[in-house]
Amino acid sequence: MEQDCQKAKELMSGAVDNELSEEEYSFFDRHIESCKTCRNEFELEKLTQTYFKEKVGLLDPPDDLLESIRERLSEEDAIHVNRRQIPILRFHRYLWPALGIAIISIFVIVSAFLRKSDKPTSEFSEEFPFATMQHTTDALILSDYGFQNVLRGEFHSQITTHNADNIIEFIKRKAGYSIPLPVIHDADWIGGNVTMLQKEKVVNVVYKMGKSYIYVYAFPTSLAHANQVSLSRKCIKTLDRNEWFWNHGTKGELQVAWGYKNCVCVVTSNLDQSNLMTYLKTSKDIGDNGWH
Amino acid sequence: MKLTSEYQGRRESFEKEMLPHMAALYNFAVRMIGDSDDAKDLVQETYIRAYRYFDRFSLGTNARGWLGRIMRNLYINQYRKDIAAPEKVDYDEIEDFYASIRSSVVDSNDLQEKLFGNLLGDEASAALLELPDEFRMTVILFDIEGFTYAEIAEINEVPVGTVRSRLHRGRKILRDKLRGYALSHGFKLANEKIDEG
Repeated sequence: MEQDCQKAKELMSGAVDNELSEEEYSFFDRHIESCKTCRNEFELEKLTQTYFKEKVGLLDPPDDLLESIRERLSEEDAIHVNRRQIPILRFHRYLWPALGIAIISIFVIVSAFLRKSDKPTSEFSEEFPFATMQHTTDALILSDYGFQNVLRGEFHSQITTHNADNIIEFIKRKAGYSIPLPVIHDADWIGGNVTMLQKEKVVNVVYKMGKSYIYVYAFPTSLAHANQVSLSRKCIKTLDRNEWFWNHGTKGELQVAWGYKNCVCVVTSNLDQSNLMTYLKTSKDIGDNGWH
Repeated sequence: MKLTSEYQGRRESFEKEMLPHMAALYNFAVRMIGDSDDAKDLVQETYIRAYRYFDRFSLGTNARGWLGRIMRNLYINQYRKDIAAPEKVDYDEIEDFYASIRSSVVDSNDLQEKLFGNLLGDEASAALLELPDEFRMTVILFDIEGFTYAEIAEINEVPVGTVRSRLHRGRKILRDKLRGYALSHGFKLANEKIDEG
């Protein structure tokens, strides 16, 4: 009997909603005829559903929604048109020779570049691999990607010093713009580096706290403004209000972004929110300035 | 800027196929988030994402379900709250009460009123917002938007059996929340009466 009740419960919403097979219906009807508890529960679910449906109706979308969707689709189109209307594509018969020349030139340039990068002076040859995959890439996804690398132990630090002030100084010098990096004195220092993304320098810094990591990913605000690195509208709105934007990465880790006049910082971490917030708040540079 | 005919065709076919579902998506978003501005943003993001991946959509298949799945994924990425498992609610009160009045009241409107009082739409919407994400999503899609079980299963990437149990449990939690509101109103009324006396 208990088993039958269990089965009836599994079928109950389907019975309320006319979503059962013949066979399931005949079992369900037979069962509630003999079982008062399930019958009551079934009737209660029906009553709740009709009552609730009556109270919560469909809402009309705002008048400007359709228009703003169309506008954004046109922005999307513009990207494709820009990409497509390269003059060379208009002259099909010249396309293949032109492509041949292009490939040879790329080969020449790349080999020259590779030779050059053997020299120890080229510190910024390391391109962020993800950046080439899409026209624009979401900053939070980039940070998430970087964090997964950190977890796999694939983070290459360019800095050997463990003195916090030296580290900040080194990064500022390499990046060429001032970043109010969080300085977390309680944490172990894992490393930092400056890499290239769309011809701009982005900063990666990693701290470790027990088994948790804090990964700071910072890039110049100009990249976001030129839409080279994208931020969702919701994120931008939040940064505009000088607030922290919270998000979750693909593996459930926490992400938080905040902005300054000259750069945007995104922190990804497997710490919990209150701990992460405490660590970030103790850093004196966070919270002033504001993103514009 | 002039669109090439290829892109114009793609755009037209996208609008024809996808835009009719805007109201359904908006309702889904606003009931999930509870804020109209954020819901608008989520709908726009969903359309942009869908437009980028439109080539992966096979024309003639279920556009509403496809859009719903994109929106669900975006929602989870942006808004997911770590809600613990649904609090253990005491189901006995309402079931006992129902059993006791069941035989004396025949009209289902009367029964509803006895159980839930005359709550406002706002209160019912608030109760809905308190449901954990997965339950709320399922209840919105079926009870408000009229999606089928199969569509809901597709959107949530779960078997139909899971849709059934989420609806059943979701409505149970909802029922208790509505009952809770009704009782709190009832207590208020009783107190007022005492004050007057």
